Amino acid sequence: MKISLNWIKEYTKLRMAMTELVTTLTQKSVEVEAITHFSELWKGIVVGEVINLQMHGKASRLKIAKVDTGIKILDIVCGAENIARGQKVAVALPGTTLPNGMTIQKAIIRGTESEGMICATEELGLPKEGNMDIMILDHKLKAGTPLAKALLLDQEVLTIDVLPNRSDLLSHQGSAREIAVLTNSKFASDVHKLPRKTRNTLTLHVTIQDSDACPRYSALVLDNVTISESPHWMKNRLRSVGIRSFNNIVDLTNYIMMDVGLPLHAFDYDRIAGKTMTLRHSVPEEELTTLDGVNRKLPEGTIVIQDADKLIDLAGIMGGENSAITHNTKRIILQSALFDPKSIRKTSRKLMLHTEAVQRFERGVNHAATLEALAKAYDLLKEMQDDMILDSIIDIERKTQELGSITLHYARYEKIIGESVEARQIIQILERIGCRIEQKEAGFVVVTPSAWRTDLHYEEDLIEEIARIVGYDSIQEKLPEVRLTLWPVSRHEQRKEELQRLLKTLGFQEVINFSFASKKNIENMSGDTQQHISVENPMNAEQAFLRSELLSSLLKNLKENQHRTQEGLQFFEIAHVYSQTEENFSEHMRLVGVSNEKYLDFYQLKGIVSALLLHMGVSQCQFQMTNNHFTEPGTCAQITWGHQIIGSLGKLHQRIQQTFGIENAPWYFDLDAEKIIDKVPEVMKAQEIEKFPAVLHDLAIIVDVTLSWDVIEALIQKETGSLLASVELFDMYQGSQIPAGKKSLAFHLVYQSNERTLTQKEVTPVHERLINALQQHFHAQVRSLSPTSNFVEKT
Amino acid sequence: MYTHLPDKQTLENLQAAFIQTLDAAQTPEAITQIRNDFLGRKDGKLTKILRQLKTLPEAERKAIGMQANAMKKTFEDALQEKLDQLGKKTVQKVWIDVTAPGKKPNIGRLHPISSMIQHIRRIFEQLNFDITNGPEIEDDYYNFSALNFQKEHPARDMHETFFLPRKHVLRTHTTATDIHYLETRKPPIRMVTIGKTYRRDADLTHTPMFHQFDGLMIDEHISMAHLKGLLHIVMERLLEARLEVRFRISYFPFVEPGAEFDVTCTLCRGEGCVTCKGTGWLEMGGCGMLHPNVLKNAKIDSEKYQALAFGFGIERPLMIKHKVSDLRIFFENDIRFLKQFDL
Repeated sequence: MKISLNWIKEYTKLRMAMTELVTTLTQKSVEVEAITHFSELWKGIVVGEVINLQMHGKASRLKIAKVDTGIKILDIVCGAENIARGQKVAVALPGTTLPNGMTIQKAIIRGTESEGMICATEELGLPKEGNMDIMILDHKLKAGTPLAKALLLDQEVLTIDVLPNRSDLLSHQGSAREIAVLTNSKFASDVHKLPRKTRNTLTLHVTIQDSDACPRYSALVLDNVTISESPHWMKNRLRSVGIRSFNNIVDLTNYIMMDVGLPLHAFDYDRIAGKTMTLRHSVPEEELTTLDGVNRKLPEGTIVIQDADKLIDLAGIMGGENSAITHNTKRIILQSALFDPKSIRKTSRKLMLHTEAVQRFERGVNHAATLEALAKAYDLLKEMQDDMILDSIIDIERKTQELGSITLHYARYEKIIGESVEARQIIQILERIGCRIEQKEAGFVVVTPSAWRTDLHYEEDLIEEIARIVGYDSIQEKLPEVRLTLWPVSRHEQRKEELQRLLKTLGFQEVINFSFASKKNIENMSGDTQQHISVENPMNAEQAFLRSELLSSLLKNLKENQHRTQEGLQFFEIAHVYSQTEENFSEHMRLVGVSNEKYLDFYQLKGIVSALLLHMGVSQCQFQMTNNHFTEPGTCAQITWGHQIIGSLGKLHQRIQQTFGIENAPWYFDLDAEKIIDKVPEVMKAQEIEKFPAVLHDLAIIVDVTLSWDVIEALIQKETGSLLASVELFDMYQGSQIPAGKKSLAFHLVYQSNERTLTQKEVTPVHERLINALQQHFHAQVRSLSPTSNFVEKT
Repeated sequence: MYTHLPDKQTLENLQAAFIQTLDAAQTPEAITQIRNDFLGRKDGKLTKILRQLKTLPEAERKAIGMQANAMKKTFEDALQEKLDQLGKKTVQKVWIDVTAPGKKPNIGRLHPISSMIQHIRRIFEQLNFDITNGPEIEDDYYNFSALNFQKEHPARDMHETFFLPRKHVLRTHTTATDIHYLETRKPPIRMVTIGKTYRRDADLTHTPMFHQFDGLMIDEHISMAHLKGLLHIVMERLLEARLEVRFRISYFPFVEPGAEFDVTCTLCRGEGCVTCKGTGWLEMGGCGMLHPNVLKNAKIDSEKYQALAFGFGIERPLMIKHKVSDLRIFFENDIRFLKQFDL
């Protein structure tokens, strides 16, 4: 919303310096987003008179204008069609920088020197009107007057960001009232009354079907109206607050809206069939071509106005083309009605049509003001067209505005704000914002808020009013005194942090990606979009769904980073993934890591994942060979913990690698972060360190490639029984030294007792039994790496 | 073999030779060699003399003997002294270039947003707040209605919302989680929610996904003055700078009175710069006293208890702290950017 301080000054004195006013407004009522100062913006632009006009010899569309700029007569080349001799125009003198940043210099245009520029509205930073038509000024203006002064726009225009609760600030009267309150000035209200006598010859029958949809309908029927241009002052005022000028009637409705805050609409009386209007909710399949020429299919339940045979108005949003005023209009209906804010907003959103009228109706407007607004409109029009006739006045009030009283307890104010304000001052502030004082007692006051403050309903609303007007600044900071509480351990957050820390230590860089996925993305991972939650209003196709896995995001990160660095990239992300079943949506935290480290192999990655799980207290996980569609066959393992699958790891399939455009086939791991984080670590019970020396044996065996270590390990455990303290695989080899289809495994065996020192005599038979068993069960070739083992202290 | 018996002269010559060789020695190995040459058990020059003492006539034996023994002690001391001297000089066996870079261990980094989240969590833990998070998919009740956003009220337009099927939304603020929290707790309450939030917005300072932290404090004597005091110390710790703070009128349906919370611009110290758009203030987030309707929805007696509430973006302080001008870079995951945050 733009507010012109020239306009504001009609209602209140500006007793504050500009910067102070802006700060005060921003802190106490509404944020000032921008300040437009036309005097500065239009430095070097003056009123000029076109005293002569001749065709440009070399270009048919150009003219050469002799323009009197007060001091000097300039030759200006101009291409506008609407230029004419005798006009007063806005002239940018050489050296002037226009609001759009363009600097005007003397220039030769098609062989003729042009000594300045005659400006169109948009070149002056005002709304565009016509197709590069120059702006025609009031002929009474004096040539040479600075433009801002001539147009009575020498005060600033403020762009304010009105919050949804303050509909009253969407008007100059409302803003002036607010400024008066903040600066302790008087507000001069503007009283207009409609004439008592009307002619009453033109009938108009208005029916309201639903009083919620239209609580009040007021209108004037005016005869003998001439559609023409508005007076210059009105045009310029509207332009200065960003509204373009059309004709006297449209400008009038806009002017009242910007002034009083009530959106008006004008119909051509003669285009209303049957002279009836019915306000109702639309039924399915209804359509209306609105003023902007767009044919709109109306959502069911839209508030519409219908005459005897057609829809004529999209009520509160935009008028219909078929009932709008035209150049030939003689009789008009000037309507000031109230519409249900919720319904207006709903329709406006569905039609994606957010007009100035919508902005006001959806926040709620002052019910009491419909006739006042029409009275002011009537007076303004009467001033322009004295022979205009007020035929009739219609005012149907189906529902009055409920203005409930509010009780404010002074103690409550102190409790909420933390400090007190004197009762006298509280009452004074409430009166200034328009509240009527109903009852004054020692500890409280009862008030009825004004009709224009549609946002005041609760005691807290009044507390805010007082606090902001006294000034939030004056609230002294304090720190609360509280009873300490030992909160339950937020283990979830702590363990997530621990997980992040571990991954960092293990060499992984954390990334954070958007939670979205595209259809293509889902298909790349061979997923089914049916199981994905779709976003109903995505910003783009990339974000049409919520992601159900993190891997593809990380692969994208790899791809985008691979050309930026030579080194192996290792990324992880911990985030929610989303899915839907028939009944509900679910989200679940997962952890995914990727690495394109060149020399990484399965065992290294398994080592990383195992270390991670172990440190998070998730021990004794099983790794089983598995296959899925996005991994290279034979590289993928599923991880189970107890009976739950908690993740997988493997090498990405070439196809995926190519789809994502990644150079080295990356490895990945994907874990159920929720289960890992939720695991409550057991309290560790410390064990005594073994007192007795261990007997160490190293064995190497050659077995079939397909024989898995867990089978071998099980046999070792079985054959050695309680004598074996541990077995550790330290080497695995396949290659030229070993027959094809075979592999060599080397492992340490630690024999130890916690009761006594083992003798060779005890160990040897067991160890030999083990070697026999390995030979028998696996046809293993066994090589002892330490045939005469020493008694070594196990470290 | 004729052996010249040791006399005074012999000892003096030997001492001179010892001093000369010792002076020339530059390494511990050379010292060992000299020790062997002069004091070696078998062939040490002084050892031999000492061995010959018994062959000397009685008269000389005593004098020469004393002198030779004293000399042995002198030699040993001198050798040790020289050895210590050499030790102090550090003898370089291997040439290490200590200025060359070390081999980098493979250590990753947290995303700067995660680090900031941990930082925020730490601050509120120290202030004795309970820390929580909740679902990102919400229904209309938790995200809007329970927070006093009326149906079809333009206040809802303040949150550009992503809609999901079956009238669900991606939470537009972490305040949605606060209601879940309140459903299962009784005052006094001190809690902070930290997590992801979503709004349909994308430009230099907006991304469709971002992070927020959001807090409530509900007790019998909680006021706006406390809110101001609390946020002041939190922001100073968060931005690691001394700050001025101010409240500015604002509107959020779930608080009344409501305020926008500003801190002095840390870049220009309040003088006015591009970041603060010349105002000298940085807008950090919204706050206020929880609306009685919200307390009612949470079944908390609003006559007895008051609640302060605040909600802030996490990327915003991060951008201010590290002087990042484009928010989007946090989600591009460019390793060259992320690498800088070695925390």
